[in-house]
Amino acid sequence: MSAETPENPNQPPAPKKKGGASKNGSIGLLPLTNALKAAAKGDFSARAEVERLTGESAEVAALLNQVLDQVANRNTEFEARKQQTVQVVDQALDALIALVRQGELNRWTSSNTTDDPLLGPLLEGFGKVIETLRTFVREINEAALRLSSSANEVLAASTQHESSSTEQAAAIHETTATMEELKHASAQIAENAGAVARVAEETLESARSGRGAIGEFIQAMQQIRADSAAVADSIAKLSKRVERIGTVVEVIDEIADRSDLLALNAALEGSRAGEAGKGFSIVAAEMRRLAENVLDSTKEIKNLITEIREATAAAAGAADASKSATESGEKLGSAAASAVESILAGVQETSDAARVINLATQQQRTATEQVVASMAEIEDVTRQTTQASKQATGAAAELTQLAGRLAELIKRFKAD
Amino acid sequence: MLTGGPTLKQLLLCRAGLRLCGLPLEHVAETLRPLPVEPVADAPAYVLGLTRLRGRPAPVVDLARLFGSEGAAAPTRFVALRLSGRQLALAVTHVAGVRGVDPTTLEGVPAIAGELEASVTEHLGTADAELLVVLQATKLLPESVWQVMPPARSST
Repeated sequence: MSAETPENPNQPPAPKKKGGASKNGSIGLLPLTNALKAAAKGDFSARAEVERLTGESAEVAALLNQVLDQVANRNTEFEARKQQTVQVVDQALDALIALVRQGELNRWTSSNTTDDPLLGPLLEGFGKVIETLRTFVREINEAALRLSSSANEVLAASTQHESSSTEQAAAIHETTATMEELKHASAQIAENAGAVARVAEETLESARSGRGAIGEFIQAMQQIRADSAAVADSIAKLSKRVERIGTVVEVIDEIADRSDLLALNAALEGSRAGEAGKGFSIVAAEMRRLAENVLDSTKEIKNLITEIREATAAAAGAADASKSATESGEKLGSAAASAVESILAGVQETSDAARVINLATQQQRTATEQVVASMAEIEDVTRQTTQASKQATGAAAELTQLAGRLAELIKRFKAD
Repeated sequence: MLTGGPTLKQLLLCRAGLRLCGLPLEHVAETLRPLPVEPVADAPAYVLGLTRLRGRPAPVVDLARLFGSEGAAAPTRFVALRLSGRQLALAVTHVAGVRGVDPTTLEGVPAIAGELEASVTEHLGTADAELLVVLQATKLLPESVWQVMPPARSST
């Protein structure tokens, strides 16, 4: 409101009448009346024309002017104060409008004060409210930023966790499949180990049988060697007897040869004797025929002796070979027995080891089956964890969006 | 043989390798088993060397080598021959015995025979369907060979 604005706008102030006269032409109290009328109308600038009055009227006029001066001053002060109040209220309104429209909290400063005792607390309260809002906005902004950052971190962590969970689920799935294969492999190994144990047991029995057979073989070799020695001895005796027979045959052959020569020469003599030696020649011829028969027989005997010699030599060689073979057989048998003993020890160890392996593989199969069952449970839990991670990621993403939205909203409030 | 027919020629039949030979009995002294023989230098290949017959040296003729049977079996008998005061030992593969042969069945030596073989062969005949070579005992060792036999020369 302007200072010049009359208190009653519908009643314009009366025009100033300086030094006006009454209807009867007398001034009287007209200056006072005019001044009062103007004041009544709100014009406190009019003054009573003291110079036109005299006496008490002049004094009243002077007092009236003083009062009017006081009122004018007071009015001026009031107008100034009013103006200031209006300005402060306008600023508060502007700040409030800026706050409402643009979220600006920085329009209101601590310098917006007034001396008006009535308006001062209001402004002070308004300032405190604004300051409280500023603090609130700052804290919310900071919290929104932190929330956004945390939400991003949560989202990243959740995403990472989801990825890890997915990878973990895949790894667990593969591990489960591998364990499943391992279970089958363990079952196969257990079965094979059982077969190995059975085979080792059978081998052990065979080796024991082989040890007995080798013992019998060695005894047979010893018997054969003894028999071969006896055969060789008999062959040696036979050979000596054959040699003796050969000697006798040689003597017979010698005698027969000499007889043949004697008979031949006797036949010659008989032939030379002519008719007288005829009988002699016949006897000589017969003798020679006998001698030649003996020679043929001794030749045949010699051939037989030669064959017998060859046969006995071959038999002796065979006996020697048999002896050597049996000795070798005994050595081989002893070596085989030692080898079989070693084999027995090895097979025994193998059998024991196979039995232990069989037991261990059975335990392994049981443990593997338990692991497979546990892996199935882990896979189920991991699947649930992955699902929860996805949900958490979704929630974290939504939270991030909300934090962003909140940050955007709070940015509308300018506290600084 | 000793029948009323022709007088048979008495021969000592012996083998030289595969060849059947006949020696006139009048030259045959005896038969012996092979005796030790000392080689003689410059003697023909069929002369094995010298041996001793009844203490006297005598050349030894390998009858198989004489007929060129180099691969014949080793001699099993010596036949001692008396040749006009000389002694000769024939080394033969085998002595078959004494056989009387009809002289009329004997034939001369054909011209196809070699010089040496022809010189020692008196007749050709047959014995048991086998060719029989009747030897000239006196021609078995040429005179030139007798000359290089010191013991033989001294014995004459």
